[in-house]
Amino acid sequence: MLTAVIDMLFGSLPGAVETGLIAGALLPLLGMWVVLQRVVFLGVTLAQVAAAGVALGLVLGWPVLPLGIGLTLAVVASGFVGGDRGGRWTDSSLGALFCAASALSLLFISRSPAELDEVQHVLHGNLIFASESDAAFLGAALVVAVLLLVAFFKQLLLASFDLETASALGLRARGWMALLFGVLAVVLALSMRTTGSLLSFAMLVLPPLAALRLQLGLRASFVGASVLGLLGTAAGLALAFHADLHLESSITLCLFLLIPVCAGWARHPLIGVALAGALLFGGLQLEPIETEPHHHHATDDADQADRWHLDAHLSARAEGDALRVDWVLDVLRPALPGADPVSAPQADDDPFPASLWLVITGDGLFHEHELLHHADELPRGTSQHSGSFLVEGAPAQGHVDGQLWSASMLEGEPLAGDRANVAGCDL
Amino acid sequence: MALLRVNDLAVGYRRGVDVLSEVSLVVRRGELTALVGRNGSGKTTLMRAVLGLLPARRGRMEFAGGARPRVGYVPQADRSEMRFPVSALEVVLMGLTPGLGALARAGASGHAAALASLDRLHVADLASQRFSALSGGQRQRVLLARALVHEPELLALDEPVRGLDLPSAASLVQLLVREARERNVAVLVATHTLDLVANHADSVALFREGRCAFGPAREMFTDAVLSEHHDAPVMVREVEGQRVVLPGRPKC
Repeated sequence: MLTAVIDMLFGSLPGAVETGLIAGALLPLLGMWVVLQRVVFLGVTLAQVAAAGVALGLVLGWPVLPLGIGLTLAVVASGFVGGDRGGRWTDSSLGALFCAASALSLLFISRSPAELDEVQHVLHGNLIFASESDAAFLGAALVVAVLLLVAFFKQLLLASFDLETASALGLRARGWMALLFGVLAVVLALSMRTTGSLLSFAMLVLPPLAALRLQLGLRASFVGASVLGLLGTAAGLALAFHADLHLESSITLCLFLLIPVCAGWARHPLIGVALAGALLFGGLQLEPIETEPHHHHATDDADQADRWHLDAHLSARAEGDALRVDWVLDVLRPALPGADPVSAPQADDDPFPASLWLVITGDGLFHEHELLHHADELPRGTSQHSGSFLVEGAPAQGHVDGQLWSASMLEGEPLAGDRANVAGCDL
Repeated sequence: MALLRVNDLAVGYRRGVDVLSEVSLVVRRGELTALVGRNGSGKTTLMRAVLGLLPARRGRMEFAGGARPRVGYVPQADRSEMRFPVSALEVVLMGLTPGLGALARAGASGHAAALASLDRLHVADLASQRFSALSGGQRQRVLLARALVHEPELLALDEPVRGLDLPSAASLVQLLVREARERNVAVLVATHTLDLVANHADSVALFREGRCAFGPAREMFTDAVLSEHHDAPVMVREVEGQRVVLPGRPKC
């Protein structure tokens, strides 16, 4: 069964699963330092500052990554200027920074040409669109960060445990703290566009908080946080796919639930196991809620109930000289009344397209791509499909629109707007 | 033999405001030097300056041989982070960190030194226990073991007996005296607990309003000197060969 679940997850959204698991396992190793130093709010503040940097990049049309990294590093540096506290921000200063960063990200986004989807991605992440190259990039950055922190573990430990003593003994304590928080800032900025501020913060602090409940030793707590982050992320991914829930929220919730489970385990392992079992049972009881796509408002509700609908989301980015387009397609095929929901033949008066093609257009861009072959064999009910493709010689920036077709442009016809919605995206 | 000479030192935190000025004293090897005064009188500020945590604005600090000596430091009890899931042994091992190379580990010899340091303070049996689960007196001994693990020439302690019960406090002070005498360590203690240092300190620096009076303990622990520095009557009496400091009757 486990193999089937992993095949299902990796088979449908390999980039999202890999990125989630990598971040889930490695971010807690950085987050443990934040939790131990009681600067948890620093994590969410830096994540929000990184979001503001990304949003600023969208406004200016500049590369978002350098801006996100630059802004977070500037905030980290500000903690080391004009004081002898070694970057130990107060709750009040972090609160003020968080408010300012949140307001700025919203202001920047409101002035940017980005669509609502892009705003959601910046603020809440777009893990579902993460590609395997995203996973490799974030994974490489996180591995470098973790190796740095492992190599200088003893210096970071002394400076974190007792900054004044560390300085008195001749250690460059403020420098080591700057390294720690600098690495944290860069990692958060890098993970922002895939995991978003909420999930980044959750992965940073929730697994360490859970691991500390287990009353383990120092190194075991770090390892435990990483393992718990991996397990919580895997559980969140499985829950999201099983019950068709929002991906980032599901992972965050599962990471949070690790805390009571570990607290129960610390009291008695049986309590922890019982709690985990109860939560697993509850999760399995959840079933997908079939919701009508939001673009159906134009037609009669009674008529809508019997009709199929398609809802596609696009994400595009430059990849060398080409354009990488990621797509996710939500399919709704209502069951026929009284018929077997899976094997029943489709109604003749409302045929589902035999294949689905995406035609994308933009500034000097025209391209068609087959998304699903034998689409009329899809099971009834709701299903989600995703993938990505490369368009050679595409423009470096601009806006991309898409339209779903029942076949290629030579043979098919465009699907009506109230039956097939495609959200465009900016480059 | 003098390890540190402080001459007309002035230090402070805010620009233009000196917390201490015209401070002069001598810290000798094999002796216990006490920094005594009321809360906020500048004891901790001087200790921070001696440790290199605060720069001197005026005056000089001269170490024997010209170079800063190996330092052991025990901060105030509430400075250590209690959330860390570290054992007593791991806390002591932290004391070796500055002396190791950037990527080096303490290794077996480091572990042996840390255990020996704990043993010196009679807390070797606590090595594997979680630091945050120890009593206040046990934690102070572990922190002292951390300070001693790399054989310091100067041992500085900030309010080491604050929050300790009387037997624990007396035992800790006796340990400090033993370290000073037997290992020729210069011990510098900042405290406002007069009784405990009255019988053990060799030299005393009395702080008052940013100034400091320094001299041998027998000359500083007198009714007149202590009363003047406390702005209130203070009596020093001998009970069974021990100096006892008592509040005097205020003049009506």
